[in-house]
Amino acid sequence: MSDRLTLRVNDLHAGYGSMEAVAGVSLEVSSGEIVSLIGRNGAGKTTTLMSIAGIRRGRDSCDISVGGITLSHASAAQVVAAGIAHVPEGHRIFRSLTVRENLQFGAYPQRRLGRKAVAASMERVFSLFPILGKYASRNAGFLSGGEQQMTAIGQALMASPRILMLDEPTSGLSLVVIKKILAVLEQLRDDGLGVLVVEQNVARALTHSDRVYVMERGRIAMRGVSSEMVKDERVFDIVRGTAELPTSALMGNADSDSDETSRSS
Amino acid sequence: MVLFLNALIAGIGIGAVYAFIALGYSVVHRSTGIINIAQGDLMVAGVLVAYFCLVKWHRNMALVPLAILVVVIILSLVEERIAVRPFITGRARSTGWFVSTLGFSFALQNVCVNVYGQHPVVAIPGLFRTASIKLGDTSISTKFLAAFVAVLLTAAVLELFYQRTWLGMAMQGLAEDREIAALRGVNPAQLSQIAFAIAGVVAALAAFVVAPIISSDISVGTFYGLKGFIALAVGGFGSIRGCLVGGFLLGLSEQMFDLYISSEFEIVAGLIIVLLVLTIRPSGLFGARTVRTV
Amino acid sequence: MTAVGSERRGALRQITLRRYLQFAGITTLTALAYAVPTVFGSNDFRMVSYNQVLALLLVVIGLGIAVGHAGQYIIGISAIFAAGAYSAALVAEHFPTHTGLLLMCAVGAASGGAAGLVMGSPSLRVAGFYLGLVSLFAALVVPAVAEKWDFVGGSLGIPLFTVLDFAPALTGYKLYVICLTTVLVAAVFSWALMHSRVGQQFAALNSSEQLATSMGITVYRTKLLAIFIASVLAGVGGGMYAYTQQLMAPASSSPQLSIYLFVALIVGGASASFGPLVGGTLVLAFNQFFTAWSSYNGLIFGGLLIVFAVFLPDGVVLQLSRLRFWNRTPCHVDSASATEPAASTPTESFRTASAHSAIERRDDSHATLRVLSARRSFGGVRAVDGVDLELPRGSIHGLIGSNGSGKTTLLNLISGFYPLDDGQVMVGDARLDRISPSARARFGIARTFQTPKLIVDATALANVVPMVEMRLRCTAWESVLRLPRGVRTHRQALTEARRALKALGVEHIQDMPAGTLPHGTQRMVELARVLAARPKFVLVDEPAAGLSPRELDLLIAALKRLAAAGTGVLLIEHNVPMVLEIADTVTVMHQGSCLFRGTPNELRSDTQVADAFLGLSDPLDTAS
Repeated sequence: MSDRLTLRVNDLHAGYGSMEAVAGVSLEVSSGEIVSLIGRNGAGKTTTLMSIAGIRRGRDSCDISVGGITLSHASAAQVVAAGIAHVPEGHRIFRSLTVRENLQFGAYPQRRLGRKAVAASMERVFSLFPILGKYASRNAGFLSGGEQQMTAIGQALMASPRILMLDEPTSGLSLVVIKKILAVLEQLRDDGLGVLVVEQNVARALTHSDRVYVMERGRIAMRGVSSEMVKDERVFDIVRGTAELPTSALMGNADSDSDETSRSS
Repeated sequence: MVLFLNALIAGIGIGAVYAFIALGYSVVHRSTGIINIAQGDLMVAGVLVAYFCLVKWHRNMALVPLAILVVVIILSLVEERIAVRPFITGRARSTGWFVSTLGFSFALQNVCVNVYGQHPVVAIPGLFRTASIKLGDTSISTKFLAAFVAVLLTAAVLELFYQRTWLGMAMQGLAEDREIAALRGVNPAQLSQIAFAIAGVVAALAAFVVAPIISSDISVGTFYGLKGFIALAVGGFGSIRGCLVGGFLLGLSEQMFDLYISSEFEIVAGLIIVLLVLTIRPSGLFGARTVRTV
Repeated sequence: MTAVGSERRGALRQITLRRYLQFAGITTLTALAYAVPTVFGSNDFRMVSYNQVLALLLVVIGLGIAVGHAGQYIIGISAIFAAGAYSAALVAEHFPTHTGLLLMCAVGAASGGAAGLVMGSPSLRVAGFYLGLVSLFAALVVPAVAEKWDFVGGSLGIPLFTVLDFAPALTGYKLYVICLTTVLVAAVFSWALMHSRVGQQFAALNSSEQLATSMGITVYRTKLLAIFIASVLAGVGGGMYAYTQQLMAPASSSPQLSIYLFVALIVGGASASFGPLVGGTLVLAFNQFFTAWSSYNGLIFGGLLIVFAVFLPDGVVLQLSRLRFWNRTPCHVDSASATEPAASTPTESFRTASAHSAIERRDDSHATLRVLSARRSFGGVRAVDGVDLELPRGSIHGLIGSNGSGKTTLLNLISGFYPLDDGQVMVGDARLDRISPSARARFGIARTFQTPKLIVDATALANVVPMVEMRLRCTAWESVLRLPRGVRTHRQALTEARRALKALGVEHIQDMPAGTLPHGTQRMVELARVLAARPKFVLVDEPAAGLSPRELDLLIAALKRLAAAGTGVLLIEHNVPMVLEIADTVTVMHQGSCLFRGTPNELRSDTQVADAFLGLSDPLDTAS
């Protein structure tokens, strides 16, 4: 196991056009922990992750670094090379390729390491998600939503990232699959990976993570250790939308980019 | 019967050229979503190089393929840099590539015509030793045969490239979902450059086999470019097989039209074919179900 | 208030200055145009050249309508031009004594229009640049065919100057004046078209086919109309060409010509109303009169295209008009300060709205929107799995659920943007699921989109007006030609549109291009558009996202008033407290099915459902 790596995000700003979806977010994720990012829809969680991953860059300067490497203006490819992988929401994979080909694709940043290294990574993914081994030659377009999501996560893992980000990995999936994915994330954490998860289900997020950030309208409203936050009613209030802030002020959402149509088709 | 066979062979030979252009379009389109309107002109520029090497400067035949390759690849990369890159990186409005590549095509054509000058069209001396091979009653023109073989080989190599190499796989992914490809470490700008370089190679190969067919007629860039696009449209975007089938279908229908209906209006055959296919199957014969028409 | 007031007065002064300059500029240029032969020489050769430029200008104007306004890339317009010119020339050749300029132009118009319809027919299947390349291929075919076809004179074409009895009655300066006037009339027509209800339909189509459909526009028919109008103009240009040049040959209409004309359009600016005119004059005149570099034309024009595509995509005219020099500074008036006045007017505007709709309501107050067992799958995923829904007019129905629950899919099914796999959508006895989405829009089903869809280059007001006009009876001609009913309905539409914008607190930005507005304001404009249509039912897709607290209050007020006016509102939202506050009924969806249906109070008390779907408790804990 290698030494501890920390992804540091400091005062991130990002927006669409003139709308600022992320208005000054600072957070940290280190090796060997699972960090949840929760909040109501439109709070800016997806934009935060996309910005870190190098897609849809913020307009203002932001300060992102991992293990000493500055990533503030890095392209997506550079972010991946620095060891950060992002699994966006919607179990998106290449439907025209088989499971094995999809996983192979994930190893693109590591292609120089040779066939043996790639095969070893693939074996590791199969050991984490045995069902992918079973369907290795099947076209990804014919898998169920849960299997596609597992493929997507596996694909991201093929690049041997040090930090893994996931955007609502369990949304819309059956309980069995959700259990499996959460178990895998915990195993990855135990093996030294740093995990940043956006989760819609507050209780689930608090039970299955070490630390938690609560986002509201583009900012971090609360942060802390998950096991302690479970008992804090304020977290539930913010997400439920009944916090002590005046109702109208509460309702300002910053982004709503969950496009079901693009995901379902 | 002899006439039919000749038409068949000619159709496949010329169809191969169309298929070549369609392949060039396809390579670029897969990685960038752009149709490089100058693809036909790149091929013609290669023919110009062959003309200079063989007719004007009387150089060795061995030099020719290399010269064509170098010049055409450079032109292709230049085009990528000035007329396409701004649209990949998002600096300019994303739909302007059409105007831009059209502009490059126009400019390149003009340069070639001016460089060639006012001389009449001359044959470009034999790239192949024999003009035709005898087969029973008929003779197969080697130039058509060469074109046919060349395009099949090129298509096969491209298939292998897409299936077996990292770059090829990266390009396929880029075509299907740019964002996911980027998140998995693929650099879209770099790949667009490589795609253009490959398209340049394809254009150079096409130039090599088309030179004996069109001789030194430099004005046919747009002509072949548009025919190649028709072949791509008929065969279907995103399919190498489609490029081949589209090209051969177009070439054959032109020759058959020429033979049986009218020898003067064979160009109409193409228009009929494309309208037919677009009405019945808008995504082309082998095209993916989602129609990428823009 | 005073700050806003004085800013507005200053802006008004600047507008008047700008208008004055525009008027002066246009008058001067027009006078100059008529004086060209006097200034630049009027020998026979020169006159023929001027007229050639004028004839081609007509084609560029046509191209501007199809490509610039409507986004239909019929680049191969030279083929249509050729059809017009050849037909006119043929008529002159065979009936020389009866043929004058007028007849030739008429013949040109007819054959041009017909050719345009043929060339435009694939536009149903192919779009954008695909269509452009196919049309360019057609432009290649036409001269190639003409060259071999004896009927049209083969490669020599039809030389009218050799036809006895064909003596053009109009020559010299008189002819020039007529041609120039025709071009100017065409330019004015193009301008009038762009600012009419037809032009607005083109703009919507250009912006987004989905937007156009949701506004009740039949996409295919509108595309063909744009192409047809352009083709008629090109055909007239062809007729004029044949008359003035007294010759039509294959060489007169090559694909190269198409590209020159396209360059002219891009240089001038495809979407500017006088862009084609300016660009056309510059490019064609250059081509015609600066023949010193004619052998490098391709290089120059090709280079121009690249430069313009990368740096000046909007063309010369729009770039000039954007110079700070004569632009007022956009009002950065925060919606907070602007809504003070707005707060008092909505009630008044809606009293009239309610009065109107009360009449409507009496007619079909029993018409309820019903969804029965709707089913829709994508691949193997059941996005909507047997959902029922009832939406009576005048009520608000909230639809909530987590991501992936199928809410937006259901909305798309009701509005017709997705076909149903199974089930029905009905209003009263009428089966909606059998008609197209644009027909549903015209029927009275309005919708918004998750990301506000607006015509970005049009002003906020211009975005709302078409929805009002959809309701008002007026033919296209009345609108374009500014006939009395056209003017009246337009004025009425403007008033009602302004009212709708006011009701949503955004009347202060009504003259700003929609694309420059902040997200929240765009959302408000989109809602104003829906409001102005006075629909029977409105489907609102996550409207609260990205709104400020003030805007949210306006949104809630607007939705309530819509319902009060008799519209059935289906509200899809993540913002649960808002939904619970204003909805009459609530449906909770989860993974494609309906998890709960009832009143907000019932939902509030059923904490199990609420917590489960809100994610406040984890179903995993209760599962094995």
